[in-house]
Amino acid sequence: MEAVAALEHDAELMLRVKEGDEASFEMLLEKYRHAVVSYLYRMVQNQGVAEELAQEVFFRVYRSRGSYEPTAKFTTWLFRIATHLALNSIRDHRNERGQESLDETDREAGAIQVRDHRRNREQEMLAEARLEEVRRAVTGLPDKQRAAVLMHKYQEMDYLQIAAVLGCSASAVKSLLFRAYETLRARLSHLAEGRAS
Amino acid sequence: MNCQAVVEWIIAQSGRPSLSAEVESHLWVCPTCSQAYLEQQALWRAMDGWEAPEVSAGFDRRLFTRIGKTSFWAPLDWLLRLLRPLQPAFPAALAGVLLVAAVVVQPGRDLPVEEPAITVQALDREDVRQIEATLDDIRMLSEFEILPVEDQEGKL
Repeated sequence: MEAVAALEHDAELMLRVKEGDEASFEMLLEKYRHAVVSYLYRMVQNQGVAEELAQEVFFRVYRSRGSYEPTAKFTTWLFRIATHLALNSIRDHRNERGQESLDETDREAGAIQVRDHRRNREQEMLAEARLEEVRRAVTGLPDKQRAAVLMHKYQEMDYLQIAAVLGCSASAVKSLLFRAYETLRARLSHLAEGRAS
Repeated sequence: MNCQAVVEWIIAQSGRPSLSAEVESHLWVCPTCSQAYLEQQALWRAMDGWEAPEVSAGFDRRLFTRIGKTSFWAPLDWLLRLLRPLQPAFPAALAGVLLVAAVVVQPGRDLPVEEPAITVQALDREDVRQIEATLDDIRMLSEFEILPVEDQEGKL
C-alpha cells in the first residue's frame, strides 16, 4: 500500500515538474539520486563515469518533462534511461574500463579500511579479496544479466519491474536471473566453502 | 516441488531468510538444492559488502548548471519541436528555393564588369633620392664615354 502511494506520489511530482515546478524536480532528485548513482556505479564500476551518467539520466528526465505521461511507474522510466545509458557506456568503453576499474578498486579498498577500524588487517585483506571477486564475477556476466542482478539485489525490484525496465517479459527476467545467479554461484562457490570451513 | 522450482523460489526470496515448509523439506532430502541454497546465501552475503560510494557534493550544482544553460535555448528547442512534423518537406522546400534562385540569376546575363583597381603606392622620399642618384650616375657614366681621351703629352 505504501509502495503504491509512493509511486503515485512520484508521478504527481513529475506532473508538477511538467507544469514548471522546479521544487518537485529537486524532490525527485533528492529521492532517487543515490539509488541511480549506486546502480550506475555497480554497472560501470567507476564512480566518475557513474556520476556523469546519472547527470545525463536526470537531465533527460527534466528535458522530457513536457511529454511525461504517468502511464508507467516513474522508477521504471528512470531505471530504463539509466540502464540504456549504462549499457551504451559499457559497450563504448569496454576496452578502456580495465585500468580504470583497477584504480577504483584501490580507492575503494582505502574507503573500506576507513569504514571499519575494528577489523584486523588479515580480515580486511580477506574481505577486500572477496569483494574484488564478487565485482569481477558480476562484471563477467552478460550485460542484461548484470543489470537484472543489480536491480534485483540492490534496488530490490521485483520481476515485473525489472521486466519493464529491460523491455522483456517477467518470465524472461526469471530466466535471466536464474542463469545469472547460477553463474555467480559457480564462480564464487569457494566463498560458501570458506565460510563453512 | 522440483529442484528448479526450489532454486527459483530461493532466488525470488532475494536473501530473505524465511523458508516455506515445502522448500525446507525439499532441502532436507536434496543435497544439490541444499548446496545451491548455501551458495546462494553466501553469494548474497558477499554482495552485501559491495557498497557504493557517496555521491559527490557538487552533483546537484553541476546538474542545475547544465539545466540552466539549456533553458536559455529552450525557445529554439520549442520551435524545432514545432517544425519537426514538417521535416520531410524541408528538402523539397530547399530544392524550390534553389530553382527560383537559378531562374532569377540567369547565367550569361550582362553584368557590369568592374575594372581592376589600380593601386598606386606612394614612394618613399628615400626611394626617390636613390632613383635620382642612380640616374645621375648613369648620366655621368655616359659622359665618360663621350669625353675624348688625352694622350700622355696632353695632345688630343
